[in-house]
Amino acid sequence: MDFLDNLALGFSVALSFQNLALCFMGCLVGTLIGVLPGVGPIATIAMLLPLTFGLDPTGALIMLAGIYYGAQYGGSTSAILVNIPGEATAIVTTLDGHQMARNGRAGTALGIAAIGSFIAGTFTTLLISIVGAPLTKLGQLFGAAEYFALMTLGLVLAVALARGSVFKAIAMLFLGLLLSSVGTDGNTGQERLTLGLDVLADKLDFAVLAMGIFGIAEMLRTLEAPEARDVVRAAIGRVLPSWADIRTGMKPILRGTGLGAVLGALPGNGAVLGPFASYALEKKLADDPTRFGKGAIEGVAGPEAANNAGAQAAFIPLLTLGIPPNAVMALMVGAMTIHGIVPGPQVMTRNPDLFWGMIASMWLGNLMLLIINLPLVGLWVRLLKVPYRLMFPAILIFCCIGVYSINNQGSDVLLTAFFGFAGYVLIKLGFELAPLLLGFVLGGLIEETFRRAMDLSRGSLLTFVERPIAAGLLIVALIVLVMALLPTVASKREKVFAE
Amino acid sequence: MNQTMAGGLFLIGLGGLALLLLGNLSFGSLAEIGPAFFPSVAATVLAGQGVVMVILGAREAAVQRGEALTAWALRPMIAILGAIIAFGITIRGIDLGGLSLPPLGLAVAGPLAIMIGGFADTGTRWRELVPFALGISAFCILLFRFALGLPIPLAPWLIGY
Repeated sequence: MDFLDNLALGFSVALSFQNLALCFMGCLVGTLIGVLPGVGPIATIAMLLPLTFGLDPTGALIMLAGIYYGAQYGGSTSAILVNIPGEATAIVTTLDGHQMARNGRAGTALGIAAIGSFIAGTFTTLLISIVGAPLTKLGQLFGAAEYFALMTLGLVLAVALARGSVFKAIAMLFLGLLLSSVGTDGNTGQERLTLGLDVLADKLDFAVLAMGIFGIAEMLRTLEAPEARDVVRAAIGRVLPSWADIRTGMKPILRGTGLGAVLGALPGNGAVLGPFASYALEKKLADDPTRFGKGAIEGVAGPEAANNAGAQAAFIPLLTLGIPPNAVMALMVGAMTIHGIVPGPQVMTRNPDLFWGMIASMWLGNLMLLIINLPLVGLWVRLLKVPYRLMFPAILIFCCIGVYSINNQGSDVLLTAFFGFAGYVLIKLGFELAPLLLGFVLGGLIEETFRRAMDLSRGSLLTFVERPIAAGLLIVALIVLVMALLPTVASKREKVFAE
Repeated sequence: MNQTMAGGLFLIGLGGLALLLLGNLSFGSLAEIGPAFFPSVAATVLAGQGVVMVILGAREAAVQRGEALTAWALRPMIAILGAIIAFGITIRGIDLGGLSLPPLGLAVAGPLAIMIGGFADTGTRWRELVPFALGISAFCILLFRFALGLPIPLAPWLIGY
């Protein structure tokens, strides 16, 4: 039972007073910011990243992971209470969660969401600790060609799973790849696409880009529509679900956990699909599907479990292979790099304290969310009643300070304004921005692994066919791409997202 | 002009601009990949997709379909972006050759950004916004500078840091 020893090591790290406090602070602050409408986990983490700069690497990552879970849970809270999802994965929760709130069962909805998330978190923590070691060994066998093929598969999956047109998603992906090459080329030292500007000579900072197109552009989109916030007026009701509720919710929670964990571990942001898949499944399995959309507890329990399982399983490709599967994990890469840790298979062997400590803290973070959020529901309700005209200037100033503090550069703040504008233009043109971020995140790695694979094979593309693992991954990528573009599948895909 | 066509033109513009800027860098070959190789491929695909979108958009327009472009919300855009830019240039000052501004610090940049940003909403009231801007700024100074110890300049012109 190797993984039990590892978990024991992890808990010995995570249970230190300092790390417990950091995990708690992270969960609390993450929820506080994440609960604000229009602020998703990406903007929350980018905003709060500087809080962790002064900490040791383990503490910093534990706190960031806490912020991440907090922001996720905060997003579900605003989905249930005000019908505004903090991000894509909470959209499903608005359907039945907000209806439950209108029926005076907001407390129960939040309670079952927290319990579902906790169960999902427990299961996924175990899963990560069991598959972590073998996957890391697999990662060490991968050469440049295999890494390139795996990331290509990730990008294809991201495109297939993006909302809206596949064609436009591919365009955003390539725009992200293009943006990732701005700056000084690592191999030759030549400047690319910098327009001669000093700010651009270093690579673009991911947090700056993410804050611009996810924080600022999203704020502009929110301000564009006249405020239609539907803060729940009905009583919150009891927070602890009754036994009958728990019995109804348990099976959806377990099914949602399984779906979310499997999808979330895929490279290429599989986590977004989890809640949708879980909702569709529960609706299909229900005795009376017409209850869905009118406040069915299964429609909150399943997707919320899937949401949290996916959020946590997304750490698997990052920690074992060094490939961030989504934008949040890319911010984690940024945080690791600041502390001098290169994510990848070597982290587990070189920094076992950090690796296992972080995994153990995932479970503790989920437990803390359960404990702190149930009593704090009333506070979130009051916070959500603050009018947006006062809320957005506060969010704005937090964004500015957060971005400034990453490098202590005013020019980063100016770049954020530029990307906010660019993001708003792209939204106006009907483009979905998630694939852009993923393209940007993986762009540098893809270019480097492709270059290395070509160096090793002396320029022969056949290397991707001759190496069985690389070939297999590329074939899967091709099949997924063709399927996503097929008209029949495309219409089914739209239906899944429409539900 | 519908959304698809405008989107296509935008992609062509971006891809074209990138290819233009990459002109003087070496492309290399598969065996010896140059610095322009990867971005050129991405830019070419981008521009190519733009061409396809313009054609699709034109066909949509011919049969009166496709999503129309929606109006821009100018007021929030100017206020929010203006606020961020104001923060960016006042926090540590700038020096653009002839034009320079000394670092004003968070004590100025904070309230300034909040007040400019406040214009984004038509319902903003001065009597509410000014105390709010000062209060939130004071809170940020306490939190970020003193509680967390981040090296943000507060008011270099007044207190030296």
